[in-house]
Order: sequence, then C-alpha cells, then structure tokens
Amino acid sequence: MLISVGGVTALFVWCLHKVLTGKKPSDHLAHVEPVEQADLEKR
Amino acid sequence: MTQKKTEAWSSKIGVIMAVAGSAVGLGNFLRFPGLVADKETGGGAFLIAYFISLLVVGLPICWVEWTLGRFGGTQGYNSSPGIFHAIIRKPWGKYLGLLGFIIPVGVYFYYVVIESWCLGYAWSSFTGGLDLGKDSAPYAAHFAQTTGLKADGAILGLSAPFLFFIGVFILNFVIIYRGLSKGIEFICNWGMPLLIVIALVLLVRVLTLGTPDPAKPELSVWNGLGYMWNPHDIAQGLSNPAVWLKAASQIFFTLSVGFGVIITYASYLKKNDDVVLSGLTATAANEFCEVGLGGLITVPAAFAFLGASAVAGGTFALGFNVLPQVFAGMPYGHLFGGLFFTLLFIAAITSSLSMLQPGIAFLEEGLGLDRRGSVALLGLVTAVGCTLVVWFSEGLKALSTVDFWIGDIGIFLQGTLLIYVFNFAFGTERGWTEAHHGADIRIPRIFKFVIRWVSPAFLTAIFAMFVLKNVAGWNLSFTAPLFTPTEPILDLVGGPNHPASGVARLTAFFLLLFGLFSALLIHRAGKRWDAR
Repeated sequence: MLISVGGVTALFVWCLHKVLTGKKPSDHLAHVEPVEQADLEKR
Repeated sequence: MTQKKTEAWSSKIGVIMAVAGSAVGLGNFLRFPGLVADKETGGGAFLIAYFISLLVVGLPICWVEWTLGRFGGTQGYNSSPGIFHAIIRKPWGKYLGLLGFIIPVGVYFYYVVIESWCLGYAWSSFTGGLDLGKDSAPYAAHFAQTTGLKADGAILGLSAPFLFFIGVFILNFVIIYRGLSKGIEFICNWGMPLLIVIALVLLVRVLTLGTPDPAKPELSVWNGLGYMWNPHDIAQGLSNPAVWLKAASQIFFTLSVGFGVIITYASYLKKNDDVVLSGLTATAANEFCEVGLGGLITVPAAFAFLGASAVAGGTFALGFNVLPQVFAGMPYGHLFGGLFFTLLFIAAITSSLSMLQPGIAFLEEGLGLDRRGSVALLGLVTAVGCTLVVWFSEGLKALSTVDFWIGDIGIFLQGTLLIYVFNFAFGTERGWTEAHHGADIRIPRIFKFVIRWVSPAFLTAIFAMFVLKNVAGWNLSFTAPLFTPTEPILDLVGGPNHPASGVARLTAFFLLLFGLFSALLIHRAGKRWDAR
C-alpha cells in the first residue's frame, strides 16, 4: 500500500512541480531566430 | 489549410485539468477499490499487473493520443474523423475515426444518467433523506426508486430522479455551449481542486474512524486497509489471465485512452505546446485520485462498518447501497455522505463534458455548423439515446447494453486502432519526433520500443482475451477451456433458460442506426474536407 500510494503521490507532486515551474509562454517569445545560411550569404 | 481556429485552451494547467477531469470518474472511487479488494483477482498481484499495464499500455497510448491530437489540430482538425483524415490521407482514413465520435457520445447516453443519480444522492444526503437506518433493505429500495430498476419508465414524470436527470442533462449542454475555455476549462479548473480537497477531507474522516463498533474489534479501518491492500499469493495471481484482464481493462477505462476525448482535447493545443509532461501529469493526477484517494476511502470505510461481505457487490452496490448505509452510521454522516456524492458528481460532470466535446468538434468542422447548431444537433441525438436508457430502466438493461457494446468493446477497439495508426500510418519515428516537439521533458527511450512493439502486442492480446471472455464466454482457463455464452450475447440471440431481451435488441438496433448515421455524417464531412 505504501509503495503504491506513495509512488503515485510522488509522481503527481513531481509532475505538478515541473508544470508550475516549467517554461512560460514568454520563453517562446524571447528566443532569437536562427540565421539561415541563405540569408547570411544574401547579407 | 486555411481554416480559422476559433477555440484554444487558455493555459497549460487548464488542458491538464481538463484531461485529468475527463479521466477521473466514478471508476476511480468505486470500481478500482472493488477490484483491489477482490479476494480472487485482487491484492498485490492485481496491483503489479495494474502498474505494468499502466507503463505498457496506459501511458504509451496516452502520449500517442496527445501527439496525434496536437498534430491534427495543427492541420486544422479537432475531431477523430478529421484527425485520422489528416494522418492517413486516403478516402477511407476518416472512417477509422468513427469510433472516436461514437464512443464518447454513446457513453454519454448512460453516463449522464448515473451522474444525475450522484447529484440526487448528494441532495438526499445533505437534506437527511438518506438516513435510512441500519438495515440494508431501505437503501436498496432507495436505489431502485432512483434508477427505476424495478420497472420500465418508473422514473418518468415529475419524480425527483427524473427532474435531477433533466437538470443535469441541460447543465452539461449549457456548460458546453460556453465553449472550450469558458466552459470545460473553467469547470475543470475549479472542479478538480475541489474534488481533491473533498477527497482529502473524506480520507481524514475515514482514517480516523478507528473501530466504529467496540463490540466488533475486528471491524476497524486498519483491518479494512489490510483487507484491501495486503498482498495475496502474488505468483499464483500473476499466472491468472483474469488478473491481467481486469488490471489492463481498469487502466484502459480509468485513463480515458481510446475514448476519443484526449485526441480532441489535445487538438486545441498550439504547435509548440508540450504534450509529454502534460500527458504524464494528467495521467499522474488520475492515478493519484484512483490509487491514493479512491483506494483509501470507500472499501476501508465499508469494511469498518459492515465487514468484508459489504464490499463484494460491485460498483453500483458499493456506491449507492453500501456507502449510504456506512455514512448513516457515522457522526455527521449526512454531511460526509453529501460530500462523497458531491465528489462523485464533480468527477462525473468533468467526464461527461469531455464526452460532448468530440461530438461538438466533429459537427462543427464536418458539417460546418456553428456552436449553437452543433449543440442543438448533439443535444437532440443524445436526448434520444438518454431517453432509451431512462425509459428502459428495468434491470438497467438498456444502460448495460450500451455500456457493453460502446463502453467496453468500442473503447478497446479504438485504443488498439490508435496504437496501430500511430505506428504504421503516422510512423513511430515521426511520431516520436512529433511528441518531443516543444516538450518540457523527454520520454525515456525505452518507451519508443514499448510503443512500437510491446503496446500493440499487449493490447491485441488483452483485447482478444476480453472478446473471448465477454463475447465468446471463455472461462479464462488454458488447461480446461470452457465457452459459455455471456449475458450480453444471450440478451441478443437468446438461449436455453435465457430468452432474448427485447430491450437489449432495441438498444443494439439503435446503436447500429447511430453508427450508420455517424458514418453518413463522416462521408458528408469528407466531401467538405476534400473541397478545402
């Protein structure tokens, strides 16, 4: 019982922690677009 | 694809709550404890088979559905037929999504009825109407009165059960009409935390029950926990096919995989949204509610008050006959009973809402209906199906017939189909890459092998075993196999001492018509999609 209940509780808490402290939508906006080789040559 | 996307989840936690809300249902608090407590097929062996099934079937198919759903959404499709159309790109591809429409809508036919029982029981508990004494007979009578178990059409009219049913039916459609974010997500964002809080309150109450009757010291909550959780003969249990069948079936049903719901919910994600951690979190939330909460509340409480015999009556008996009797025997029982049935109602409504969204999505994108039109048409279809279930209530025959053919066989079929489509039409490698697009965590590589080979083989074996047992009537013995026709089959074709049931035949005929009608709609939708 302890292994089953403890295991699923720990997994749930870990998942919640990862979701709540994970990347925010703003992280997607903050990244820099990689420069394509073709664009580089054009410049 | 230029179709404008009008619906989306407003937050990551919102979609996780919605999927978890869909998965957490009555089975978590009633069916699972009963299975673990079963003296022949429960205990430690069941739990080992259960967790193996979770890793080999539940979690992999869950990730498969999330991945295919998000992919379909990026192609402009939100329904199973549309998503399969986008993946397979053949004229027949969209028909593989038929079950993804039929199953959730078909299960809704009876699920919303059970949901209304939960609300009715919550009301009766809070108002003291369920305090029916120590004898079990009044509780059985109350259940029969609520469900119309004794005669067809018994609850029709101005009876309280019928009014609760009408109210719950309308409530579902009012919420679904508000849309994905303002309707489903809003309800799940409030409902799921509330459900967990109520479950924790009940858990504390149950664990502090001690020995309710000092004259019977053997009936204590700790002995109840021991009765349920102590391992039986594990080696013998794991060699029993029935243990594996029950464990894999429970995983399958509890996670809502193969239901057509996750694939639709995931289709409203954006291309860079995570599906790996979200899928794992929704699964973990369901397992926490099932094993961590459901497994500690119902059976130990029933054992402490009524003993081992009380927990052996099946899901409905445990929930609606035994537990009201248990609550009536404890201080402030009407309050705790009311909370318990409120918990069941919340678990049920977050699930029933999820059963409507795949239908709404298909009617909108397949027939070009707006929200009002799709809600009206789906409301009409489900009203006909629900009427069948409510009207033919004697022995719950219509309910059990829909449950067997749609809720059991259909879900297994759809889950098996999903894993094969993922591996052989979409491509395992491509799917693996697609799953990790925007992922917050990586899936351990071993799961690639599991998804490619183990899940399809395991699922096919379990499905075959399920059909052999429940359709062909196999006694699950390899050494002395015996095939006896089962009740759902006898209800349709009849047999010695078991005349065919007219209600079961009518229900099966209705389901067949519903399937044909759905296939016609998909045919029409296909023309629309081809013209895009």
